[in-house]
Amino acid sequence: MTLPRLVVEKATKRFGGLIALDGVSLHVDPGQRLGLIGPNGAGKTTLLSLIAGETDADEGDVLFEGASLQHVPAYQRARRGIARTYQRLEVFPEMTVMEHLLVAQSAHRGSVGFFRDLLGRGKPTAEELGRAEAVLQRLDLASQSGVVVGTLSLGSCRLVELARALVTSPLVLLADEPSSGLDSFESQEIAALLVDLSVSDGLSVVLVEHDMAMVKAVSQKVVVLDLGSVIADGSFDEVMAVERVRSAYLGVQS
Amino acid sequence: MNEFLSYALPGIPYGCTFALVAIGLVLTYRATGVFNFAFGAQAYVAALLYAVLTKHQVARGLAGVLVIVVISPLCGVLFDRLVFSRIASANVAAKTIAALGLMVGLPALAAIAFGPQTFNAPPSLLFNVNNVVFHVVGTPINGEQLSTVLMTLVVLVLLILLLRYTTLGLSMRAAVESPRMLRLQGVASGRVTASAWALSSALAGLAGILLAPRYGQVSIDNYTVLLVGAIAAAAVAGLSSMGVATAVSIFMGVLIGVSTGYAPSGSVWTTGVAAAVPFLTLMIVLALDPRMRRLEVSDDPLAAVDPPPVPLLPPPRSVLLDRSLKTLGVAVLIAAIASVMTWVPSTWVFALTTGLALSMVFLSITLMTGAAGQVSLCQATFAGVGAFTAGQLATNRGMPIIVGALIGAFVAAVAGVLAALPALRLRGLALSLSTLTIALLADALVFPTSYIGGPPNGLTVPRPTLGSISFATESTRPFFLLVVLFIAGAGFLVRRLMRGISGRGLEASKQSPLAAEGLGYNPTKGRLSMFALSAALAGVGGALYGSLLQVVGPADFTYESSLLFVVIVVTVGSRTVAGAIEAGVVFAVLTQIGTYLPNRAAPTSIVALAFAVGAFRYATHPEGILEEGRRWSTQQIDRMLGRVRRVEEHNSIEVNA
Repeated sequence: MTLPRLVVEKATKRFGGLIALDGVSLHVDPGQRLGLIGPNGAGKTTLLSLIAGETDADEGDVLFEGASLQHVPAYQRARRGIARTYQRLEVFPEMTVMEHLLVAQSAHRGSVGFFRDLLGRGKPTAEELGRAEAVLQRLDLASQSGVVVGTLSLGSCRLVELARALVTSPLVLLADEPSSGLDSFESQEIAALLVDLSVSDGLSVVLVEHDMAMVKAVSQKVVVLDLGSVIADGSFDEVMAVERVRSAYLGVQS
Repeated sequence: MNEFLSYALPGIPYGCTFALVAIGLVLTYRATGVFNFAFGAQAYVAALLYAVLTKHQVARGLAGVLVIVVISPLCGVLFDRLVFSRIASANVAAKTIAALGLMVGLPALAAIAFGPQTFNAPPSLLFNVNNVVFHVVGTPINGEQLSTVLMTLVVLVLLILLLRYTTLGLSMRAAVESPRMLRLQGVASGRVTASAWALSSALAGLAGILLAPRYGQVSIDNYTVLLVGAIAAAAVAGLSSMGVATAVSIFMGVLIGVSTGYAPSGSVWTTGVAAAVPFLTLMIVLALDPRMRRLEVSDDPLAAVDPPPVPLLPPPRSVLLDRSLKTLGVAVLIAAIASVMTWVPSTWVFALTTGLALSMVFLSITLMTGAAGQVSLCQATFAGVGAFTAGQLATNRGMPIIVGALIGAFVAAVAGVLAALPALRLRGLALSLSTLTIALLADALVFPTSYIGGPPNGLTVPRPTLGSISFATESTRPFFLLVVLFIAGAGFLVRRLMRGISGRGLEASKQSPLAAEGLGYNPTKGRLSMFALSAALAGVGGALYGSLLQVVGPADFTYESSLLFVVIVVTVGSRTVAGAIEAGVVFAVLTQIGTYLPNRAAPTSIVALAFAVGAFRYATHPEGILEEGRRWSTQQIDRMLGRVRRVEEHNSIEVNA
């Protein structure tokens, strides 16, 4: 039996009186694709921030490859292989697309660039460039490699964030609404890519998404959050059949 | 008990002097979104105008009304229209730098207008200063104290009522959150912000005039001292509650009054505590209060509607032009150095050497502000640490000055790390506040001690000797060459850093701190190493500068120098190593030209004013004047040459072999 790659154990997060997450547990195996859905304010993004280390849980724990991530700062989680994209775009507007991927790689390596820079060895290596180009190729961004990201459209920026997250070959990808700003064709391509990566490279995916077609196409398992609690989990069709999911999420009156 | 009261009661009006400024800071921040570093400067200028008017026999009531109700608000509206309304609400660095420009520019303008003459304290607007109005348990309360307390409370109540219960107050608060949203609601947000500036400037005028009779002469220093306490109180109040700011101010005033009262008279404690209390308060708040970390977060729901900042691409040049310009540049540089070594008059050699030594300090600002996007206001303090360390080691331990300078750089780096510790998780405004406080603390407590800043007549920092070569000759020429070597070496290294992994990391953390950490950048290590390196550069620069002057003192490395340095570098160009060196040279040349003007014209103030005005352009041209000019001229020449082949600089990335 393989160790689950990522485990969230009874995570609780409060913001003042508001309980954003109330004892949420879930686990993701290597190569597994998990869809995380729920209405606005359900706690999906909070859960991703908690896994990525941007906020700390008030109670509960996150385990990565069997080890607790308590008191592990965000940057170290990133180096261990947790990558994420953001719901509210977080690109570097004055950098080119290629620079995004180079920055990601040097940050991930975590080595002190200082002395390498002073010795004049701070330029990207051929290997880093090669890896960046391969990812760009895969996301159809190769032609925009030299374009400054601040001038790109919202959809392209999403792709740049995804490329930046994937270039370091992470073990887990936390994708926060990657389809918003994309057209349905582009969404399908991203969905196909995520499936591809999980099969070929064993990438685990946690996908937060409102586009149900994409959730269905990507997720092997779906967890439904409402008001900070898990109200259902199972395959896409299974959770969609649950009464409570339909009323809480889809607003369908029973 | 009576003894306690006799110390505590005078602390209340003393605290109220902080409170007036603190209320002003909170008001401006809440009503305009700008942390107005220049509030003290505005108050000073108002007090000066009032002093001038009353000196020319204008009735004090009329003079007061004129300054508070007419001139100050008009100036406020001007600042808004000409400077602050042109800055996007999310651009915190630009707002900070514009306010710094005002802080440097206003006293400079006053010095130009009124020349070197000093003005004695003007008469009090309300009660006679020295009349004892009544006694509280045996402690006399004079007119000045009474009017300070009364006016503070009146102002506080009126402003709270205004912000809470009037439509204008509501609009002001909304305009800070999102001017665009306010406009969409049908409110002329520009007018709202302008009236907020008018109001806060009127308050600055009132504070200036009210506080002026406390001091013997009208001097900017008195208002700066108030600023530290006011910043601390405003920070404790989270820059949002004027009531809390007032309460904290009064508490600090009483604390200072009581602790100096019980301290043995004449001890360091009596002078130190007045500076240390606000400093410690501010440091604790900055380090512990989570609100200080969120000052940067823009709440504007329509922020995304703003177009992204125009990316600063390297100017596209044809290969031919690129090569010929570079060759020309090198030729000019060699010719310039050769000229300085031979025929340039010695006063100019001295001036240019000064400029280059300062370039080293400026380079530290390039790293901090240009590369990392943080506005540090204590770079001159780091320079001072370097200079004093080198001087003390050379004078008292007989150490060679070059070794002393390197140790000075190391000590400055340690100081940099210490300065960074409370600011580890701070960005933008909060970081500027903490560094400004560090600079003011060093000015007040650290540098004036003789074992650091040297004896009152100055600390000797000798010129270096290398083997048989002495740089201590009458001529500055050999020393000039030495400084050129130093700056070339430092510039080369900084350039490598900025173009390498470190530079990319700083750039990433500047543009999206969240994403940078999410990719694996360690923000703490990044912050500490940047402060250390930047302080070390400033330290070497300070030591070189000191060695050039040969005698230095605390007055050479004040917070005012720090402000001026930032303003200079930002105006000339903070993004490149060349920008820092050019900034030093331009500053030196302008200052030297100024020496040919009569003293009456206040030449140093003219230079300061020029750079201060230049800093207002930071919002639209963060790359600085020289870079901007270079881009423009390249385009013009390129056009004339008929656009030959382009160098696609940003498309071709060099690879390590």
